[in-house]
Amino acid sequence: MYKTLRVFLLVGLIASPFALSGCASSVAETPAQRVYALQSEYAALLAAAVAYESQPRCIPPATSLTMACSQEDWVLEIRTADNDAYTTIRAAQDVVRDPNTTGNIGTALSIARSALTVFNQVLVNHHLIGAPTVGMYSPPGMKPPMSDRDLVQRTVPHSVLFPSMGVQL
Amino acid sequence: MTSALSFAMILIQYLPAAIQGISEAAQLIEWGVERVKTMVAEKRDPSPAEWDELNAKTDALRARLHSDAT
Repeated sequence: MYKTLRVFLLVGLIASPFALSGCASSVAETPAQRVYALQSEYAALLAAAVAYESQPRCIPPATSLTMACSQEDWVLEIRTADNDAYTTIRAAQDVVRDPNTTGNIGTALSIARSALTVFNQVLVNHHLIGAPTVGMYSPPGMKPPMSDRDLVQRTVPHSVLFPSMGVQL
Repeated sequence: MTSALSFAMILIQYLPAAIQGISEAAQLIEWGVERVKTMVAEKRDPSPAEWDELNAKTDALRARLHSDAT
C-alpha cells in the first residue's frame, strides 16, 4: 500500500511539472548553444542534489528511522561527481566562448556530457531523481539526441522525497 | 502502524525541501529551454550576459551543495 502511495506521490506530485517541460539540449543548434543547454540541465540536476544535501546528516542507526536525513557518504559521492561535471562543463564553455580557441569543441562537449551523465547516474543510483518519464522534444529534421544527453534530459528530478530512510515502505 | 507513522513524519519533515528542489529544478529546465529557444530563433550564440547569468545560477547552487565541504 505504501509502495503504491509512494509511486503515486512521485508521479503525481513531482513528475507533473517536468512532463510539461521540453529540454534545452534538443533545441540547441550551435556548439555554444549546446554547452549552454547542457549547463542549464546540469543546474537542474544540481537543484535536486541540493534538496537532498540540505537535509541534516543521518545519525545511525535509530534516529534515521523517523527522520528525513542525508547520508554522509552519499553526499560525498554527489559532491565528487558534481566537481567533475562542473569542471568539464566550464572547460567546454571556455572552448566555445574563446574565439581564438585551439581546443576541440566536439571533444570538450563530449567529455562534459560524459561527466554530466555520471553525475546524473549518481543521483539516479541514490534515488534522488527518478526514471525517465519526460517525453523527448525533437523538432523535425533534427538528429536524434545522444544517449547520454537523452539520459539527462529525460530524467525527472524527483528530488528526494524518500531519501535515506530506514523505513521499509 | 509504526511504519505509517514513520512515513508520515519523514514526509512532513522532508516535503518543504523536496517541493523547493522540485520547483527550482523545474524553473531551471523551463528557463534553459526558453533561453536556448530564443537564441535559436535569433540565430545567435549566448551573449556574455547570458553566460554570466547561467554561471551565477550554477555557482549559487554549487555553493549550497558544497556548503560544509572541507
